[in-house]
Formats: sequence, C-alpha cells, structure tokens
Amino acid sequence: MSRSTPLRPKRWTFGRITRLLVLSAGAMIMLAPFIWGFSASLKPPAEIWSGSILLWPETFYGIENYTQALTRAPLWLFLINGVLVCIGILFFQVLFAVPCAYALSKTRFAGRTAIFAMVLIGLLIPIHVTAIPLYIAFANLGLLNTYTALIAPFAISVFGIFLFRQFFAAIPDELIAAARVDGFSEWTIVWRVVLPAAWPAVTAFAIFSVTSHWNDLFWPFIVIQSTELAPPPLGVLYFRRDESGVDFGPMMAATMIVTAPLVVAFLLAQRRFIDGITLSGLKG
Amino acid sequence: MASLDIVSLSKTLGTHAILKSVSLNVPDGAFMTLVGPSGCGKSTLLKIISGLELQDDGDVRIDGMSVSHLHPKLRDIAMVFQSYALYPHMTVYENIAVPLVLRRLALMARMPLLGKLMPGTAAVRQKIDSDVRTTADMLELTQLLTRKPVQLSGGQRQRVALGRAMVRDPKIFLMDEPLSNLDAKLRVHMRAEIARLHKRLGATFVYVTHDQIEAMTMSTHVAVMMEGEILQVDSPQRIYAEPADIRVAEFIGSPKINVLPGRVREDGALAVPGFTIAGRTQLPTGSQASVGFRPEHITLAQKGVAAPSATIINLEHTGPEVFVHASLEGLGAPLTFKLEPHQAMHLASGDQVGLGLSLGHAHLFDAQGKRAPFMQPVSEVVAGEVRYG
Repeated sequence: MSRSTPLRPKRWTFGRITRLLVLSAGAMIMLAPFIWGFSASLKPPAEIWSGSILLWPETFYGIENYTQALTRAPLWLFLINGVLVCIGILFFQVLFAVPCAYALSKTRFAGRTAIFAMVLIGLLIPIHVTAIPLYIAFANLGLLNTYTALIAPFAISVFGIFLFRQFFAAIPDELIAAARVDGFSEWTIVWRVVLPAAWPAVTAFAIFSVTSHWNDLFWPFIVIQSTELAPPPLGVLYFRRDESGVDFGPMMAATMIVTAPLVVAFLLAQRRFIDGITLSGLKG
Repeated sequence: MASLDIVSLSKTLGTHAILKSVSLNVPDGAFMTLVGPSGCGKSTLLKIISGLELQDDGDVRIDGMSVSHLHPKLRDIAMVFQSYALYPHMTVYENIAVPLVLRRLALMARMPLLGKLMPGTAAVRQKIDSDVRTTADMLELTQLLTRKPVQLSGGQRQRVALGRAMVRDPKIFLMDEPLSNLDAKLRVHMRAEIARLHKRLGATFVYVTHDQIEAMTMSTHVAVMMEGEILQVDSPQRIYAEPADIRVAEFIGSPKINVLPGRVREDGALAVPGFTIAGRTQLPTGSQASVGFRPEHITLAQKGVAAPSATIINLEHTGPEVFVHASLEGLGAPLTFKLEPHQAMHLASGDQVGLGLSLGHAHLFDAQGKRAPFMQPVSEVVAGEVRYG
C-alpha cells in the first residue's frame, strides 16, 4: 500500500480541522433560519416569543399548527398552483431554449456571434429591472392575475439558451452530419438527436428552473391578487394578513409544508443536483 | 450502384483555397481511396460529395445527374464517420433502423400512437424489421441488437455504423477515416472486413484516409491529394511503381523513398552529390532534377566494384528485414535502404559501405516535381561514377 492511497483515513491536521470548522460554521448560518422555522412550527404562540432559545417546545403544539396551516388557507391549492406554474415555465423554457441553442451552436448564419452576445448580456439583467415594464404590459393586455402572467415572463430563459448552447457545442458535429445524411430534418435533429444526447443538461436546467420558480415570491407578489392563483410562497404570506395579526406557528408550519417537496426532491436526487451544478459550472 | 463524377470542384474558406478545381471520376463499383496528409482537402471533398458542405464552384454528378443542389438525404448516399456518430440514446437495432424509418414512413406514421392507425404502416414496419435483421446478420450484430452504443467495443460500434450505412442499399458509400479510432490489431481486421464488404455489395465506395497502408490494401483506385489538388489517380500498384509526382513518390511507401537532388549535364547525364548517373533524359541541359530510389532498390555494392560510398548511421532490425540508415557525402538527409538480415550481419554503425543502386528502378522528376522518362540503361561503373551506357 502506498502512502498516498486515498482510502486510508486522513490525519486530523490543523488545516483539515480549520476547513471543517469554517464549513460547519457556514452550514450553521445557512441552516439556522430553517431550523428556527421548524422549531417554531412546533411551538404554541406564547413560546415563540418567550425569549429563551429552545429548539424543542415545552408544550408540543405541532399538530395544532399544522392542522391550522392546512385548513385556514387553501394550502393544497397553493401547492397545485406551484406545480402548474413550474411545469408550465419549464415546458416553455425548454421548448424555446433548445432550438435557439441548437441554432447558436450547430448552424452557421450571419449575425450568430452578435445574437450570442445578446444572450450573454441578457444573463446580466435581473427580473427586477424589467418588472415594471412587464407589469404595465400585462396590465394593458388585461392579463394581470392570471396563470399567463405567472408563466409568460419566464418562458424564454437566456440562462437556458446559454447552458444548452455550451452543452450542444460539445456534441460532435459528425453526429449531426450523420443525422442529416440519414434523413432527419433540422427540426427532428433538435428533438430526436440533440435533445436526448443532452439529457443531463436538461435535468440540470430543470433543477435550476424549478427551484427558482417554486421559491419565487417577487413576481407572483406583483401580478397576483386572488388567493386561488397564488403559488406557495405567496400563499404563505396570507397567514400574515389574518385577522389575528401575524400568526407565526401556522405560518412556519405552512412554510415547512411548502419547502418539503424541494427538500424531498433534493434528498431523492442529490447526485443529480450536484452533477447539475458541476455540469453548468454556475449557480443559478 | 452508381458512378460518381466530380467536375472542377472549388472551395475556399476565407483566403485559403481548400480545393483547387478538383476533378475525379469514380467508376461504378470502384473502391476509390482519397489519400493525403491532413489538411489536404480530402475530408472537405467527401463532405461536398455528401452535400454536408457546399462547393463554391463545380459540380457533383451521380450516374451523370447533377446532385449539387440536393440535400444530403436526397442524394442516396450513406456515410460512415471516424467517430462512428451512432445515436447514443438508441439501441443498435434503432440505430440501424433509423434511415429506413425516416425514408419509408411518413411523418404521421412515425408518431407513437397515431402511426398504428395509419393504413399500411404495419407492413412497412415489418419490412424494415426484416431488413434490419438481415443487415445485422451480415455484420454479426444479431446478439447485440438491444445494446446501447456505450456498451459496445470500438470494433462493434464500427460495424453498427457500417450497418446503418448498408441497410438502405445506397448508391454510394462515403467513408471518412472509419478505422482511425481503432487499435492497430482491430484496424487490420476491419480493413479486410470492409474490403470484403465492398466485393460482396459491389457498390461504389469513396474512402478517405491519411493511412497509405489502408489506401494500398483496400482500394481498386487511389487518388493522392495534396494542398487541395489531386496529384494522381491510379491503381495502388501503379501509384507505387510509377508515381506521377515527386510528392506522390514521397507520400506513398514506408520507409520513404530516397530522393537525390541533381542537375542535368550537357551529355544528358545527371550529376547528384558524390557521383553521376549517366543516361538519356529529355530534360533541358542545366535544369534541376531529382532522382528517387525506394529503400528496396538500394543494396550493398559488390566487393571490388567502384560505387558511391556511404557511412552507416544506424541499423533497424525488424525481423524479416533490416533497415539501414546511412549518410552520403554532400546529401543532407540520410538514405534508407533495406537488406536481408544475413546481408547486414557484419555491419555496424560507422562502417563505410558501397551502395548498389538498382538504376532500372530509378524515378526521375523534373524541376517541377513531375515524372520524367529515364531511358533504360545498361549500367557501367567508372571509378567512383555510376554510368549508364
């Protein structure tokens, strides 16, 4: 056995301990609000503001909080809205981004570099910049307070175009040439040859897209007024507007329920998540 | 089965001329190999034949009909690529079936559910199935039909790529360096297999390679390309025995032909460094010329006979033969020649040896590198000179 065998347990060197301490501190900072929220979801109202930091409640109030969360507001509806909106956004994003990325990576036409440069510039513009013009546009079209208003602004993802373009560029030209000789049309090459070959990229992109839109509060908060159309994060806010003021116990319980699908998805597909982030070399 | 004509094809990329008015005739049923160093334009020529790239000028004709304006899929050609280019998400069966499905079934009939309802689809599907199985059988792929490309070895992938090309019985097969990704042993095997396939199918093949052994062993015709031009089209034997250009002579043959630069004297003899080769050439007096000897056409001079003398640099024993590298005074590059092991037994580097040149096999090239006739000599040796009578 050579000394450098990675299988051998590493020594607790000073550097290693420091690294672990820094990472643990970082993880604690990230997790603290979540842990606090979980603990609050199990406590009676009086205990939440008692000033003592206890993770486990003295009186277990979890059942009451979670029952209220599920009954007081239509939480199931929020979850279904979230699923519909996320699937809708993802569907259109893939529908538009994949052919764009194919054109940008595998065909030659005048202005290709200029268009790709515009895609890159698009990556730099956050939704907050375009929010007001978009709001006015939807208002004039009479589309505020609809699913369309939730989905349409995100239907074209420059990040998706960029990510797929990078991935398609790595697909050998010979594969495309073979498909052309075999008789595929350009359109079927995109969907039948390139897309299946780029499946890991689609998975990675889906993860980014779904997480960011499931968790998005900013845009739904602007365009949605009716409770029936609210996606989960907006729905959680309704607990605040209750007649009884801010009711943290049920609100935290609702937050936990809303976060659960993503956490479960992460635990089930941890490897895919990590592959996706490694693959794109970017954090969404 | 078809003949292929390429008529003054030109292609320029930026300012670089990739093809300079290339013309080539590939007869029906021929195995035409385009061979040349990388960057000589042979792959571009193949892509233009397939329709994957467009020429700037010139015409491609299949059976006398121009196909220059046709999309690749309408040209009735099949192509085999260096990287095999198999569809990674499809099984071997699906890979082979793809060209048939796309050609024989209309868009509606290819749809997963709707297709079943279309009249006649079942019969077409059945025919496709039997064609795929026949092809797979011919290439011994039947056991592998359900596998995905990643589960196959290089040689198996190569056979699938061949199957996908063969299955629809195209007029012309185009192959772009299909053996370069295989290891040496498998390459020899697949070489024989492709040559056998060509005989069996009787189809027209156009095969691109940079490997002269592939060109020499498989083809009925070889076209040597260099710098965007076809220098010579001939049978492999004639390409080797009668190279039309000094670049062809230097490219084909391993080890390389030995080239001695010379000058034509008044009496028609050729003065090369260290000695003179007398003989009748039709080259103008005083012009530059070169004479080439293949390694097997140089041997050791007989004892006591005046001959050009060289110093041995080193000896390479390959088993059945010995390659001798020797320097000739006044010549920059060393000469290489081939001896039987028993001839080389007592030789060592640093030894002085006399060279016996087989003058009957000399290749003479003029100042432009074109082959020039060299009258058959009766050789006569005069003190330090090899003289033609």
